Amino acid sequence: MEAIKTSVVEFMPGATITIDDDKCIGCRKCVEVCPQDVYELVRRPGETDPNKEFKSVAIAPEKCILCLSCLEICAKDAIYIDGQQ
Amino acid sequence: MAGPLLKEQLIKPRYDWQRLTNQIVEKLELKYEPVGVYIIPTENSERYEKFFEELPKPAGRLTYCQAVDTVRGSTNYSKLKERPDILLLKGKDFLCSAGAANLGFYDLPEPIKNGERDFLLRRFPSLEASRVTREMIPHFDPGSTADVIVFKLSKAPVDPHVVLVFGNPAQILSLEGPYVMKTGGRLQVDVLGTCGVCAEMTVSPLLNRKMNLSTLCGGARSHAFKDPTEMGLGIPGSEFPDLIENLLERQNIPKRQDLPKALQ
Repeated sequence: MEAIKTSVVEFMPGATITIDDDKCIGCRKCVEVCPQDVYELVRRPGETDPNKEFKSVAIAPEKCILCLSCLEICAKDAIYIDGQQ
Repeated sequence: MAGPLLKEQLIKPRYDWQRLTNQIVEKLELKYEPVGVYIIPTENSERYEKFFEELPKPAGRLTYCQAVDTVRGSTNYSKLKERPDILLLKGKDFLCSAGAANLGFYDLPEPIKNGERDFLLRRFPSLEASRVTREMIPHFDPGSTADVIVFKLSKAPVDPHVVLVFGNPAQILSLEGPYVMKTGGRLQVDVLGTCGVCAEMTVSPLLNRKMNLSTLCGGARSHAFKDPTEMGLGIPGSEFPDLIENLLERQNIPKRQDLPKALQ
């Protein structure tokens, strides 16, 4: 007799994350809310506008668990996951 | 295994969903027709997946609420050239891990399960409150679901396990009465405003075997349901035909002269 399938399918983390540099104001909110430390704030080289001094970079998209917190928190709609906002 | 006779016996719709759809859409003047949901459990997946292998699958990841919004005819999130009326979804197709986990495809990723994710969004004053709330969101056992089929109700390829109706509060109100008042009582609603379409409208009606209402959730409203006047209702598919019958019956108020003389 065939065994009944009950095995738990593991969730596979990872996503294609794109950040629109023109929209990102480096507010750090995505860094703060991401439970997987996917994002990091980096200084924009040569930037003189104090409001654009930093920008967010997805340094570990392979760790993304698709919780979509970053999309929810980004006030500038700068983040795309698999092409979606 | 899974020959034409077996398919006929197991999945042939017992109800005329086209007629039921027309009746509810016409009576309530719904903008979009309801959506049917059919769940293929993992333990039967080999047999049942063969019945539905020809159904359209999304060409990219999307959230469950986007899939529902796609088949009902609002927007096409499927990345298919033409908007499909039916979509067969597997765990890998989900852009929202919480929705897929609620529907039983896999276990919640740990940072969501332990409450960290919602706590970091400053939704809760404590990690414990966040964890307990997440735990209480209706969900199927992890790994219990292999596929979910969502479809425009009029195109039902099978009797739906759940029917999702979207409308304004007045339209949803029109369905509460016929549902509750046939037997009498109250409708205890299982709602939080998180995981609205997946947990509250789809999973809850199946786990509790009764209608549930939802104000939808932030995710659904951000990713798919853009009309802020819309809310939703989920009902076990087996109860939907009776609901429509009761809805139509209630419109049929007899004129006084048609009543028995003793009641006039």
